[in-house]
Amino acid sequence: MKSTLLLAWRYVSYHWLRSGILACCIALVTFLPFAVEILVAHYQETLTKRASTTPLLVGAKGSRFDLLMSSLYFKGKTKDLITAKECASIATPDLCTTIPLYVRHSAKGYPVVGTSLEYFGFRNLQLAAGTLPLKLGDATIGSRVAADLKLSPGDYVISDTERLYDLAASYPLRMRIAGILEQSGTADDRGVFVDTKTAWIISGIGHGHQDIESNPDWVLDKGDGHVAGNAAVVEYNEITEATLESFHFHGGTDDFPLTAMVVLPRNQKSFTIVKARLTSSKTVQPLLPEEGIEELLDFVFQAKKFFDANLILVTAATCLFIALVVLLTVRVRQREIETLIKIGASRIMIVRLLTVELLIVVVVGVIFAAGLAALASFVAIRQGLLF
Amino acid sequence: MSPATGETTDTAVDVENLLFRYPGNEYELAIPRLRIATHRKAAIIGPSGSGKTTLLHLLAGILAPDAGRITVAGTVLGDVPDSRRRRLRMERIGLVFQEFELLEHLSVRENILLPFMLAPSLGKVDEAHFSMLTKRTGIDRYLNRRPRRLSQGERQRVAICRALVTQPALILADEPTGNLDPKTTAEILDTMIGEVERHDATLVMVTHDHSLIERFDEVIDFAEFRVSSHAPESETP
Repeated sequence: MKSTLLLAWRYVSYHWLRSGILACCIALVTFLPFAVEILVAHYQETLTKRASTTPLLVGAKGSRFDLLMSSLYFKGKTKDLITAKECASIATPDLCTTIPLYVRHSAKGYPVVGTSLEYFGFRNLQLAAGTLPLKLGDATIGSRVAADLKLSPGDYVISDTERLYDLAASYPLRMRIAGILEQSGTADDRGVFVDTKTAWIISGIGHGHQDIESNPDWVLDKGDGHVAGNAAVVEYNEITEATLESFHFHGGTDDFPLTAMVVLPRNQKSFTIVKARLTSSKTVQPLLPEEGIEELLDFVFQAKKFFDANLILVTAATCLFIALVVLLTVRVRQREIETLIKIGASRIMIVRLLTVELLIVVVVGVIFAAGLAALASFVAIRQGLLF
Repeated sequence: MSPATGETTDTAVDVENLLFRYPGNEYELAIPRLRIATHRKAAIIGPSGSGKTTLLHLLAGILAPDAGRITVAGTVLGDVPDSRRRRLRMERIGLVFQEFELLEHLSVRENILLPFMLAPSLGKVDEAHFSMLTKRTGIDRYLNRRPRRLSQGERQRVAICRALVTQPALILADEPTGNLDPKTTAEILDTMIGEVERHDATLVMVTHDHSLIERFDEVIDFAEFRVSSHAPESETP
């Protein structure tokens, strides 16, 4: 066998261009299945892992997938919102802890996640530098955001303008980077985390401006208990020590919008009670992330089945192509084969030799494809093409 | 006496009442009797297409006759299976071709040792013999080269070494000097005859060159045999 391998290797390496082209053909055909397998496995693992550590989500009635993707992976937006008040009567403190989530805005393309400090403990997120967003206007960013935007504590990030030509829209908010999170390999690496109040200020629910009454020219209307300013009043787009006092909200924070609430029941009994209450609610819906992800993965695997069917056809076509190449090669090498037979090689030996040559090319092609797929998947995952 | 054949072992080649036809061809080769004693050098001459190469292939067991008996090195080829004939060819017969038939993807060394690579039954290479053989034929300097980087004469020397490396009892050479100039022809013939004599082997060589026949112990003229029409041009199966 050693001699056969040596003879086969000598032939393959001598005709390196021919062998290389054939190996590349095989690599191109096998690359995609490898890449898809790796990415689907990663996709499945990442989705499932995050979902399984989130016991229960509460969001507005509507698309379950929107709620799931928005709350767990900060992708997309939910159409409808809920208020803390809606959940308060159901998810009571004696049964569970709730963590608010408000994901509506972005900063430099990265999602701004309005939440409470409990979120960082719940996700087991560690600080690499700085602090959590303890003050209004502070942002603690994920490792990926920090690396991509080259930000460090003390720098600033500005929320994205969403409605450029809407004069009534709120101004982008300049947020101070309070800290950077350690890499977690999850969607949190791409988040700009702020307090929910900061997120509401970005939405224009809360704001800060010059003291209207300090300049009579700024007063548009003055009534019983309220003063309305005109367009000359400067609205602050940064929360500093000097401007902090001026920021305020109109209305109670319990009525302000949230994307979702993460519900952490105290025990199984609490979980069952809370879930039952939520299920009977007319305005909110409970969502078990693990179940939601299973449904989502069913869609993914359905789509993959079509891909696999196509792959069978491509593989069959490639096998026929390789068979043609082998047949032509045998014809071209007829004289060499006759020489080997004259010297004393058996036909089995010749078949074995040609098979080993083909195997070498196939193995090289497959290894090349697997390496390429691993590299491409690594880049795709690192570039956050999935999350 | 050989138990398989009853022939005396001082006969290297014994052909009796040989009849061979190529399928679908009118060609017919008939040799009533042909004997070549061991350690002899026999030249086969005859017109093109008279069946000289066919005879070599029959002697090597590559082709099988339609009738008659061929005994080579004490073995009756028709009495043994193909695997045994192949083994005999590997172990007891050395073949030299007009076109050298070297494999371009192998080095000179690997080309010479090709029989050992194809047949593990040959055992380990006798390195001392290999070294001596390549040195005497003057190709020891080119062992790591590819055949295409050698001259015609050097290539034929490599082919001769490949035929002799297994120390066979019989060398079958099919016009080994057919493509060479007179000077190289003389050198190659010297090399081959010299090596055959050193190995105490028997040489059967097909040639068109009548000036060479005086170097041989016997000459077999194919004009003596019945050939009903010309063999296929390549004279190969």
